[in-house]
Amino acid sequence: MANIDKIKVSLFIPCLINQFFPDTAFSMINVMKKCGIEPEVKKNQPCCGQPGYNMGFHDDAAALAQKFIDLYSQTDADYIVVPSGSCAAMVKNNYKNLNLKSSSEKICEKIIEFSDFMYKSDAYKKLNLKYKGAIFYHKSCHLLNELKIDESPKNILNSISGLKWFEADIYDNTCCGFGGSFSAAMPELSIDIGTKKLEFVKELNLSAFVACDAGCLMHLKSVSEAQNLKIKFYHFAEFIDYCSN
Amino acid sequence: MSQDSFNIFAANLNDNGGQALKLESAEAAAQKITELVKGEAAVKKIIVHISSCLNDLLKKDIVNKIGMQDSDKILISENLTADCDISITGYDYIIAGSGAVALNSMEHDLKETLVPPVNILIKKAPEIFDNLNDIFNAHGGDFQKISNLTIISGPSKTADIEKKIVHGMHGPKKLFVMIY
Amino acid sequence: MQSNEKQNLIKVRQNSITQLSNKKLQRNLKNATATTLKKRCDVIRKTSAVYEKARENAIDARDNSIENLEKNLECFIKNAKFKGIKVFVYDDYDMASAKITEIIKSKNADFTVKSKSMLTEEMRLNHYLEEHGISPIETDLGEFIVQLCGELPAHLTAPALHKSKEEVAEIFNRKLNMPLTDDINQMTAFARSYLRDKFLSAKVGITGANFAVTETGSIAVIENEGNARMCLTLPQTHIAVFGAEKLIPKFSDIPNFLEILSKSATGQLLNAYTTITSAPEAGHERYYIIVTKNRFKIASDAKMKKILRCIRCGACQNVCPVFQRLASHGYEFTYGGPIGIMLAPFFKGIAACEEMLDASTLCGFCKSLCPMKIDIPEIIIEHRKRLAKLPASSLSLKRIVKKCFSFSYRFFYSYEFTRSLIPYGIRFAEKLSNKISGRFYIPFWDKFRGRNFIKAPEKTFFEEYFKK
Repeated sequence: MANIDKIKVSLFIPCLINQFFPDTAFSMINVMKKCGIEPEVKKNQPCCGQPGYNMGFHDDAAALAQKFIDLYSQTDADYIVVPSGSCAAMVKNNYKNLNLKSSSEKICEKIIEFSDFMYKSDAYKKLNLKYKGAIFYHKSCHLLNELKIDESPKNILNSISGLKWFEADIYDNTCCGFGGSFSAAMPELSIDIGTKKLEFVKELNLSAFVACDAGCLMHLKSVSEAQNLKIKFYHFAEFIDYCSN
Repeated sequence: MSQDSFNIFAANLNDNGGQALKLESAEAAAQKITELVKGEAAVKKIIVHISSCLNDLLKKDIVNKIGMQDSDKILISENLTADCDISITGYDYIIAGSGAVALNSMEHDLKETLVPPVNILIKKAPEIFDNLNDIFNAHGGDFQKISNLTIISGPSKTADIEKKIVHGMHGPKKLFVMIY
Repeated sequence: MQSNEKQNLIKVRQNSITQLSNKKLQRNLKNATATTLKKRCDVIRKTSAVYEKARENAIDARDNSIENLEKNLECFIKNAKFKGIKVFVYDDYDMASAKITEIIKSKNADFTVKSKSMLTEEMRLNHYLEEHGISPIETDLGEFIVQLCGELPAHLTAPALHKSKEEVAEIFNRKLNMPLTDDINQMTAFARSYLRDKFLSAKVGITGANFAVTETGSIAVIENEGNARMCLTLPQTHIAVFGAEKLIPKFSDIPNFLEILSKSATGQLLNAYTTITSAPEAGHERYYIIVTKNRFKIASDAKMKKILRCIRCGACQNVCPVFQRLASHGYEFTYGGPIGIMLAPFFKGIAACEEMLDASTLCGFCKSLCPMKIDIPEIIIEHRKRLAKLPASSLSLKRIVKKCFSFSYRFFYSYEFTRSLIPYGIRFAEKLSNKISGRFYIPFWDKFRGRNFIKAPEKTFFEEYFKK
């Protein structure tokens, strides 16, 4: 990746973050500014189309995807940074499966998930990251399995002085149980999967739960509060912002 | 056959629940077999079947050595019967990377490596292959030689109850592979 | 046809509630799947070079076979017949079962010993045999246990993984008069002894086949217990029952599949016994009963044909967070978990599988583990897409709700004006949800089902950011 000082960045704000967790987006902008990046925030950002796509309504997904491509084909940014593994995966992996009027190839190349961007651009090195304590890092499924991003966020965590972090193994409760429409169609399963995930975290007695995807966080937060578990949830961008203060 | 290959085979067979033994000579092999048989006879009377596919001299040596043991407790049976306790049989190839042996079914009575609870396999200087691919490629095209192939990697086993591994479900509980 | 399918809707959600309430079952499932996954990880890491190469070769071989499945089957049959094997092909399950029954009766047998075969579960062969006066005896320990319990297998390679040792001891004691014990070794020894008698007196043995080699008319049978070998070699007549998808082109393809199957299925370097055979030995008879039901249909479906790559290792089931809670029973189909969701729509009709298709988080762990690199989430989404395109006559309330949700996303995010309405829409939905709480759920909000509302902040990000 080119030198961070010469890169132009545009942001894509996922619908969940826009609607429910605007602070995550502000944290991300904060972090980037601390690294000397002035990110562009375009108006009229659509949803990436994943909810409709996953449910099988590909016409709806294509309509939104077309809006996405039309909007971002008008940017001269080198990268489109998105604080979500599932949105990034949707654009990069699935847009090519949709009937679109224009090609999504160039845009797909520019899309990059936030932690992956921060690591590969070396931007994180400009921050003096510190944290006292131990956290749980959750490997969001789309980030891990669709984009195969695992090293980037972990390398950044490793650079935070004073931080100890834990993760789950493949045989130890991995998915959070959100799954988009799954959480509505199969609520009992969704809650049980989330509950077991939090039990595992609770046993380790950690001060925070950190993930790169807002869907996971929202789902686990809603389960945690219903069970009075008092776990603190942070998006990766919020956590990095916190550690850089 | 290199010592390395044999060691790899022995380690893998061991992981699979079997035991590999390397002996210096036919005589030493016969002696070892007798010890194993005697060990099994310690608790009760046993019936031993020695395969007709074994080398005649080796077979004679084994019979003699066993005969020198307590003949009341050890009976040698010409035929493979349902109540045989030990079978001593031959095999054809070793596959080191899988910890397994292979038998050409046309040249062996497959029941011998299946029915009795203890199975001792013995062969002089068997061909040893690194991987399964190697054995299939080595004789590639020569289908008659190995188109009926049985590959054995250890004793019979199951983990169907609570994932606890138990040996000797239907096939042999103990498997010894000897080379000399 | 659609309305019939709706009546046959498989109620996976209801099943999930039942399964989740069985705490013992949940613990057994979790332990069993976690144990196998750990072993699997270890063995594949240790042999990764060999495993990866074998995988590539196996995928090529299987794709090759699927490409011309009908022709390859014809070739296989020709080669098998040349070796003296009697071959019969059926598309219909009952016709296949009828032929098997006819063969068994022609040998004057009233029982048969049987080793593990998922196809025979699909066919409900045991049920057919029993109805026609033949007693099929399952000899794989796990299948033997579930047969005694009158249940279907819970998992592809571990049929009784939902049973504790106490439950097994109880059924052995009740049905077979085994003295009660909690020693697994003793229970196994008892089963061995009981089944040994059956093997020795059986006139006909039935097995499945893991792979069928087009080039030579051979089959490969893979196992750990030795019961398949018993069924293959002891009785005078052997019947192998398998689906057309088992075909692989060449004899030299076999080792590639051997290198990946046991590692992925049970975390073993290699299963205890692999029997590769074709012509029956002297004095013995062999039959192949090949079933083609839905196989050609799937093979000719460009987006679905990769499903036939499946080698039935069960790794996808072990890692699936949903399967870990439902076991195969929760899906009410021969196969559960990711492989089940991919296959079921072809066998049960897609509308009947609406809930089953919803029973996936699309986490993608199945895809990451699958030795044959099947893109399972993509196939599930394709099924959901086909379901969404069904005619209005087969609409369910759920599908209407989903469509409304999807369409409102599309609508609200399409134009600047509609986008500005989003915050109002959310607040309206919150108030509505408060009023109706519990009766209709709005996705992501559900106070009375174990989740708290996550209250949306006063202003959305874009409102806040662009107000300056």
